[in-house]
Amino acid sequence: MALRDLLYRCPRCGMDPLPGMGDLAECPSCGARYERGGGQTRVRVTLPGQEPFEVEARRLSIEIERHGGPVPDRDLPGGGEPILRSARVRLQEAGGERPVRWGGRLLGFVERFDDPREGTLSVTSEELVFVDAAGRREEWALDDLTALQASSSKVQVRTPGGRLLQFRFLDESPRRWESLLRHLVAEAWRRSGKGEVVEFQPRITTR
Amino acid sequence: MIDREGSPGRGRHEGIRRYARGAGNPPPTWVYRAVRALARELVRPLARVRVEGMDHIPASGPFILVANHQSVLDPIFVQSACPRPVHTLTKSSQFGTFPFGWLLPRILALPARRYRVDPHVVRLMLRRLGQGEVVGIYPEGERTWDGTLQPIRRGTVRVLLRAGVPVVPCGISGAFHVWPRWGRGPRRGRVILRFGEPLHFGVHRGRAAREAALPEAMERLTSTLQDLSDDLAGAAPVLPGEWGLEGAGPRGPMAGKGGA
Repeated sequence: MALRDLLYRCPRCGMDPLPGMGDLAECPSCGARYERGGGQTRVRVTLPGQEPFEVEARRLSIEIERHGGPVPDRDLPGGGEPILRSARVRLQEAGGERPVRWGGRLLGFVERFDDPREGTLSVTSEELVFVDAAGRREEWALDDLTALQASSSKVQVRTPGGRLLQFRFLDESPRRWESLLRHLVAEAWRRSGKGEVVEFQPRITTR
Repeated sequence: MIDREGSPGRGRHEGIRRYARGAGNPPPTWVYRAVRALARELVRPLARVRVEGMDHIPASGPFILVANHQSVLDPIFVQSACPRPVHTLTKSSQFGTFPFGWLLPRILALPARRYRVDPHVVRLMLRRLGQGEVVGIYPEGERTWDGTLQPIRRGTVRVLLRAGVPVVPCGISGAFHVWPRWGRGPRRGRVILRFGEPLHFGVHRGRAAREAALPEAMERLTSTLQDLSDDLAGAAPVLPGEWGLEGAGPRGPMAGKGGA
């Protein structure tokens, strides 16, 4: 995880994406530099030619939302429905569950994930598309997804039929993807008349 | 049917007692205590922890401990501070890796599947409570990205309403600075744990009673955790002056350009 997972676009000028590594991110567009700060929940900001100052991480999140949040400014090239965003990912599917026992008693279950497949994940306003290195394509309508959540550097979705898919983002912010997918899934559910989404996990529920 | 918790007499914790039958003894706690002591020593150089409201923790009887989730270190802070062993709900995927798969059952962690409704872990929680134990839950379901409280999960609150035991809220502040979700590693800092007065939601038998009580209970739990954890949800945006953009408008000269 890195600071750019939080600040996936520049809070000052809106540049998207904001490059960075580890606890540092720097905007090539406006020159703002962001680092982990010295105080509680704070990020140190250095602007060109100015003394550094610290702001709460939450305030920078608000700035990102003011620039449009996870929704991209422009459409990327793609056929049919415009692709809103794509990223390199490693896809794993849960192939079952194994029991967790202790002291001879069943404590619960843990998901078993199969071998990862690398490829590209793209999203349009209608569907999520994965194309692996061999060119095999899988797609899922956003209004068919039944659960959505981020975990560490991954985003997990549950598809109709109970398939649990886990996408590990190799060079993108999982937070951006979680926010973007939440936004698009809520839109898709609203459009298809399923109602207003109030919760995405452990399953998508509406009111 | 609502049976108000806290009323004296036979009705106390009656709702969860039946779950204790056939549950077996709770696991022994000597490993838990040893790991807790070790973990406390390991984080001591990292974080100066101040604990407030210890008198709100019941000395006996079941209760549910709920805390906001700021950092991966939160369970260490909370379980070091709580004098009683805590059976903490933990994401099930943690049990699939070494050494956590070996360690977690021994420190009383309960595997919760996050991608689906998990009736097994709910039953297990109610059994532990029925045995008079303490169950710990982070009701946001995940760590915060920016230090603010995330929405409380409805499923968690439904369990609180079903269990009918006291709910002890714990606000964590400062852990986000010590090791935020996006941070590469820990840094030194101060952490404050504030245990609040136990909340009593009553026993709500039946789905309809729980659904009716859900909105109020969610609001009460959210506001309590916000108060106890100095939540920054109401933080103001950065001022144009701070951005060095006086006279350029609140969005700045590059707003909406979408990159170089």
